[in-house]
Amino acid sequence: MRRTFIPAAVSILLGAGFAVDLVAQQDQADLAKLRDKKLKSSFLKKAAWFTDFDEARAKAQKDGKIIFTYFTRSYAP
Amino acid sequence: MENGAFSDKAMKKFGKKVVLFCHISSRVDGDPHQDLKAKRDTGGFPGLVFLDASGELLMEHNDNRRVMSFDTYADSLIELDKHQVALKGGDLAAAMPLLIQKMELGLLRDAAAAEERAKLGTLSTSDARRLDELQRDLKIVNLIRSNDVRSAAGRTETARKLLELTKSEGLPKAGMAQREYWPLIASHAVATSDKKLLKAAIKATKKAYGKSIDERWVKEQERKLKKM
Repeated sequence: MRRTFIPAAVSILLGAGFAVDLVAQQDQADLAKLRDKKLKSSFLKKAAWFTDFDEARAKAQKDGKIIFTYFTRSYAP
Repeated sequence: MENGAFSDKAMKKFGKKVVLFCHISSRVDGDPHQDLKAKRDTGGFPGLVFLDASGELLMEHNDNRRVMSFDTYADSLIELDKHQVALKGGDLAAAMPLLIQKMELGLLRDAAAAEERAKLGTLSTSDARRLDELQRDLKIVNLIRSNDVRSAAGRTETARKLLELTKSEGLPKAGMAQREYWPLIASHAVATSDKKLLKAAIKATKKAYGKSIDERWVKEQERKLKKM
């Protein structure tokens, strides 16, 4: 009884882990879609916005300017 | 804000004065600098901060979210940044204007300002007088920054405290303190139907902002004044 219980428990756990992994992958794909949608926001086209921090810093250092930063999120409204 | 200030035509012009950077917290594994907001901004979403060219925090923007306001703070922070760079480069004469700029922007608490002032050594009479004025203004700016001014109720309550403070300490002298003080007093005057105070607050706000005044704000207040 004990011998059959352990492999069954292991396979249930492995199965659950696989399912969690699949959900996480799905979540990541959804989150990436939301981020990409945010990157296409119309306000970003109305002025010279940077969305890459390293590029923004490089531009600021090159031009001797300060950086105005807008913190937003794509995973929630 | 995205459909408001950021869609304003003035934003394009503002983008020539500073580098505009939009940081998106995505929760996507591997996206770079996802910890940036936690490191540079203490508030919730959305957040606005000014950074220097190396990406270090200069100031969180907690004032109204209009391009006029971004622009005014940017001017002062550009000056501050210049003095900061000069001082780091060994120019000790930059210490005084840097302190003035920090105090005008309310970036120091009273005690920290007094400490930095002491490091400057003996001051000329005019410099000492200027710092005395700023020390008084700092109390006003610190009071505004430590209270909730986003909600109407918060603005009214903050304005009530400000009126009490300025009764004993006098009105703000520096432009930045005036720019934060008078619009709040205008809100309070509207809430308490104080026509005389609203008239004075509109006049003082116009003077403090000069050419960068938000005409829509002025019209709105003048409309409220007529209704009183």
